Amino acid sequence: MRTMVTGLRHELFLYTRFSDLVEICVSILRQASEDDEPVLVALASDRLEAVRDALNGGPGNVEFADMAELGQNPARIISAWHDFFARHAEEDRPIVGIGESVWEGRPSPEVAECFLHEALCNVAFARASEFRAICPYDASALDPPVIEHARRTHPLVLDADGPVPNPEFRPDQHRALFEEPLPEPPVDPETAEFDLRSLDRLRRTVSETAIDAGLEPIRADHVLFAVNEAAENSVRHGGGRALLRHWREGSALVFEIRDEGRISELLAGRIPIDAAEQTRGFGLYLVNQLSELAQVRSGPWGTQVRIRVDLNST
Amino acid sequence: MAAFCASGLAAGEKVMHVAPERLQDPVLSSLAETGHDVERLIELGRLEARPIDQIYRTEEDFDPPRQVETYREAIDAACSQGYSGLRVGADGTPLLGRADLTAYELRADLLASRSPYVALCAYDRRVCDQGTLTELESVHALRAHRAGPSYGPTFSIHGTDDGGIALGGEFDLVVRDQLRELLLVANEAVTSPTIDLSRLAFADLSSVRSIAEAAQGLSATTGEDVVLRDAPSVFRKIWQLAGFDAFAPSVVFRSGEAT
Repeated sequence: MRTMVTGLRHELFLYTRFSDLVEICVSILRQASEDDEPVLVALASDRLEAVRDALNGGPGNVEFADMAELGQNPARIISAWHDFFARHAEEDRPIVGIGESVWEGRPSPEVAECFLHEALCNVAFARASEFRAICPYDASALDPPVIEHARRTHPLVLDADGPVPNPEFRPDQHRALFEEPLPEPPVDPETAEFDLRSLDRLRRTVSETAIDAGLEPIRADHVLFAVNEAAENSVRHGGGRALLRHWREGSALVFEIRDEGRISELLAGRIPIDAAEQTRGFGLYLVNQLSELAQVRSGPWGTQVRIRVDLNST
Repeated sequence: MAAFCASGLAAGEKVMHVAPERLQDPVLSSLAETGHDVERLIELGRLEARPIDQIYRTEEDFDPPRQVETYREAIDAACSQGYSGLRVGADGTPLLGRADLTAYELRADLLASRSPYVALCAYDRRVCDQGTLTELESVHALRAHRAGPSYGPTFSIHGTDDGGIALGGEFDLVVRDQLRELLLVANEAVTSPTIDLSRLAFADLSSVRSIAEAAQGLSATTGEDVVLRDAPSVFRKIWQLAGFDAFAPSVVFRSGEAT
């Protein structure tokens, strides 16, 4: 009888050649096929295509996902893994994942969320059933500070001999990243204080700002819902009064809700929740699911929730 | 009616129960049974039990504008005394047959749309013909408002021609409890398990949840699927993302006119 090992094996795989990425993916997939282990491969579309071609029809226990969609908002990736776990819960097998969330040219706020996501994975899956997660990073294309961040968030490094302990791993990196305030806006933002009785005015401001910026109505509705949920969280848990800030940053439109409360549950909003339960964090889960990019930070200084939309994308 | 009055007392509103004298006791007794010191509440002025003929005068003297003005003064008086608003639960059955009743209800509804005023108007179905009931429903919204001197958006819950209810306006944290309470009231009154959302301007997660719970309750009562009609696309998206498809499996979404 096979003994299940619990916990996450979170491995960093640094590559410098595209062919190395394809090769390691194929090797992992074939091994998983032999061991009858379900695999989710989440890569950018060009990489997915190359891996599929190399497999030439390959094993049937693999799900492929376009990371640009699944991980558009990196705060959604952990819940996607939970969903994958749920789909294979009855198999009682180790789960294998390959996920490349950072690629050359990805905007820095998105990359910052990838770092936080990688760090929080170590917490989210610490007590999961056996889960091997391999995270490729393109060391030839990404800036050195990006690679440094990647080294801090992965307890293992996958090299030619297999996974080995990573001395640069920082176990508390998730907390350090979560508690560090986001960079200040590059321009003077518009600001408005609000409380329970002015939630309607806050929504008017958000809605008008989004529409004036040229955002399509459906995306404006999503932003409005997300900002309102963050604002209601502030009113309920953040001291009753809070601050809305909004600004343009390049092609991005950014809304921020800031209050003096503190989020103690670092995984709030990242774990799927049963709709029948009225647990805290449910609103934040919806914020993450509905937002193209949501950034949450909280520490002794208070809480920030930023919702970003790219006006150039559709 | 007693639950409606109790909610107002809990919310810091001045509560007025208006009904024929024979219908006063059951409501006051019901309030007492749920732990309210009715005599003390009446003594303090927080609760008033008024005979309907004292409020609405005789048939010949029924003057809708003046009647509504009476309530407006009562709202102002309640607010100036520190209440968060006025809540009136009225059994209007004795008013049935009065020529200006529909106009009066419309005026009362308009007053409610701009005041910290919540009213529940009851009519005895046994003595109210379908035509009159439909007419009253067409002008009769159960509205709820932010209490206090400054309040923002309103929402409405009112009956629809096909016997269901329609929700309109904005629902957020401020009106969350009122929504839940009114949906319970509405659930007892509807004759068709249909909730029209075509005029829904905004609903936060707690409101979507309240609607899901109400729909499930309605389905359990009627044994039928509940139709959510003309829901905005963002509402459907939230419904799906939050997992309400599984929570309320008897809910179906439909678009377009009722068939």
